[in-house]
Amino acid sequence: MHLISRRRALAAGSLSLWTTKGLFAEQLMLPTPRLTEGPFYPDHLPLDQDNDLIVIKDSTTPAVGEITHFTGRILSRSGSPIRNATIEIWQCDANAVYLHSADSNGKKDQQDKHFQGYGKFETASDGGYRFRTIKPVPYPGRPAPHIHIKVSAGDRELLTTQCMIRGHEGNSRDGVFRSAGDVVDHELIQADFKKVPDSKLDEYSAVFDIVLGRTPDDRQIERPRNS
Amino acid sequence: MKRLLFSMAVCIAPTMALAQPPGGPGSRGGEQGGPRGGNRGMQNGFGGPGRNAGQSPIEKLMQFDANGDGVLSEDELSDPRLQNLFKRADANGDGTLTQYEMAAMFTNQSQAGSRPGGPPQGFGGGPGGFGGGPPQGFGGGPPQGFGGGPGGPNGFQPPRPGTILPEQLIEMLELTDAQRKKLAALQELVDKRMEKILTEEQAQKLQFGPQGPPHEGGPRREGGPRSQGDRPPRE
Repeated sequence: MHLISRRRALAAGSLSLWTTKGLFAEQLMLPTPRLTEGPFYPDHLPLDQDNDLIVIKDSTTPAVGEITHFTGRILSRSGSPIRNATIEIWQCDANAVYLHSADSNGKKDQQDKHFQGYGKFETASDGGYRFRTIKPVPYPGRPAPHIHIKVSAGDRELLTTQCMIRGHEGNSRDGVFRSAGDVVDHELIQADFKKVPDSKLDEYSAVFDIVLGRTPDDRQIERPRNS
Repeated sequence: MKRLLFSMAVCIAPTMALAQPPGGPGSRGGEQGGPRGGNRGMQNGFGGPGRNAGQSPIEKLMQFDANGDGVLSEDELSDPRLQNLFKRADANGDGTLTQYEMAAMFTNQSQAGSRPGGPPQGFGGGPGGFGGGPPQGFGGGPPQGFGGGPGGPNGFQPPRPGTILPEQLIEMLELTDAQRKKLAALQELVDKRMEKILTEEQAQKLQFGPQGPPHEGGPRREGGPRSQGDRPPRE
């Protein structure tokens, strides 16, 4: 105990020497862990690929499920927004069917035909993205509900990952979640799904910021060595 | 002695932080591809594992220690996604995180996060555990404090003091050969440094407990088969 307080005292004493370093340091952010793409990135992209997955085209029937406003920003490791990045998301519908023939062929009766299953958005200078989708549900073999995410710039894929629901009981039983890394990594692949206050439809909102490991420019330089 | 225990706790802390449930394959369902499989070739070096991997959770957090005082303050934590974790770890609520608080939380988390009814972890009894009790000779007697968690039938032998990662953990984490080599090098360094710090008498006591070296047989940690019969199956 003595030792700790002495350490503290020492630390306090040296603080003035070091603060300048902190002042000029850029904001630091940990990169979002990369996770498996899984087998169900749509094999036939839907005609409607907008960022509203609840309503297909001009349909009057919305998707089944709990409406969720899924938003966030795409950032570099120094916290600066990445513009002109394309973010794609895909997830199974409320009845656990993906928009992929390998999954939906045997589940035609089960499939929610009104769920878009896939959406795309391009970031502006603020790096922000916005989707209206359903709160993800578990899938057989995947107890952790999740939204698949792919970020790219032009034709370069920058990151494939997944967003899971913070504190969901299925997470600790989920193979992808468990192999995603340590507790810090787990923080970076979860978002709080909160009820929107005063929402008549019991809508949720989830904010999921995505940090890319390197900037696209870095990657271009790296590419010859990697390929 | 107090000082010694303290420095050992420092050695042990990252070990405990790493004591996570084995990330081994769970029940594979239709959807679950291999972890980080997919279009791996397309995105080499991007995203997490490229940068985050190879660091302990404490090391990851200490990157944010801008003033280098060994303590993480809320202001320093510039990644808002980690605020939640910070608040949970800040046991005394003073707005700063010591590495002890981090280690404590990581240990708790790994226990809480382990699969219910899954393989017993039997490792990491909380940071207070080690060295908290009466000085009970590390080699002799039942493991005290260390491994005090829900040990179960798999209960680890107490590792040699100063061991960065006990064998069982190395197995559990499925370290690669390259990682094992690096770890061995680090272990050698730690051992050498420890040798310089301790007197010969202290080193003896540390290794064999206050009774000194055993007269029959080798030290306990070397003898006796490890009970690994009930380890979880690995793929």
